Amino acid sequence: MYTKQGLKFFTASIATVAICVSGMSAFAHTRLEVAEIADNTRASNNVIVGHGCGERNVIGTSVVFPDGVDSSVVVDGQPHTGTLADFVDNWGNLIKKNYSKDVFTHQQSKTDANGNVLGFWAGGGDSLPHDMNGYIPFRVGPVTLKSDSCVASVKFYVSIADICEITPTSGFNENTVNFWTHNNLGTPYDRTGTTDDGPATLTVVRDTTANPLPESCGGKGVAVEVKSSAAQINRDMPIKLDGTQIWPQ
Amino acid sequence: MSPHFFDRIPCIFFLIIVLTIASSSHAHDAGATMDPNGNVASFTGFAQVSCTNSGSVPTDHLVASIKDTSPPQDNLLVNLQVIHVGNNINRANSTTDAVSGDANFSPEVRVPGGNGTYLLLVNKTGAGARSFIVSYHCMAVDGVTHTDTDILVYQFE
Repeated sequence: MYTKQGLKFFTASIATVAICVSGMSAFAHTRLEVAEIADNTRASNNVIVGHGCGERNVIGTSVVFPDGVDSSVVVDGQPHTGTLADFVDNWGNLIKKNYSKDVFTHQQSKTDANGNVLGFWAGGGDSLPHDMNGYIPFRVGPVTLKSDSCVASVKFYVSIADICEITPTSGFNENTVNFWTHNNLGTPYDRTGTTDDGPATLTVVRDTTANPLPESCGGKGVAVEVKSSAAQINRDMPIKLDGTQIWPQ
Repeated sequence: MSPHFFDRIPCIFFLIIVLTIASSSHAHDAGATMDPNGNVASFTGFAQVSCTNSGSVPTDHLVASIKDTSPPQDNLLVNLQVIHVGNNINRANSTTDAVSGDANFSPEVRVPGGNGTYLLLVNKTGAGARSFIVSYHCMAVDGVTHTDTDILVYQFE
């Protein structure tokens, strides 16, 4: 079902498209405006929603960062048996939504049982026209890479769903939702595709002037990548309010 | 996102304000209710505060205090411990709000440690629900400049 606003806007959009469209569609993936930041630096950022579901407007977006608790960690391409805490001192509550009604009228943080923010959602209002960019602002707190580790960078894979129609999971398709998620977790929110190129990324790069590598690293740091677990995506991707799930439903 | 969704918004916000017992943080005060059912004497809140530069100004120390916002109850007080390990500065301190329910925080404690992480423990002296606010601030050496401060809650049970 469409929102009233979405339906009204959708109708108008169809007319506009029929009359005016002649430009090309870029179909850009939803990505972060700033994909790379230095460690120990607080940075403003935006999720940039790049397009709708075909010609359907986006009525909401759900954004999930890895929690670092049961996330999978890869080091220089190899699975790591430890946890993210081996490389980062303070991950787990560094994402904060910046309040804005520029695109959607409602928004809220996604939190774990202890109130730590692991993502956010925004939705409602007139909807985001399918052929326009939507900037969803948030801020990342200073990520502290462990000074006594050899970590040179940490890439967080950010899973995002751009919703064009509220449906149950059985209604997920290219007309109802765009998934910028992993393709291989086995969740209902997995992106369909042969390559795992869905999620946006945020890479935290070690400032080796302020936070030099230990000598034991031999001058070479390691690249760490962090992906949400299936359990986290199943828990955090849905939009919930007061214990009631708003999407999917 | 749906008409139903919009209808529920005011009610939802009201319920959140009235019913929430989970920890919440606003700027650098964090408030919650320990042991809401009043039967867990060992209830403990455990968090990590991360201190970083404010611009080019590094952190020198963390200051923190606690305020019990519940009505007074004999032999039931809230306590805050602050621990720093690392940077060759291993220090800890603690403070208690000796007068529950008044407008005052406990005496402020200061733990040196520079940029990095500090551990915070909040507990109480016995069974019973206690609402509280913790104030925590990373500070520069001048004691005036507020450096970047973030919190991660590990446990609240």
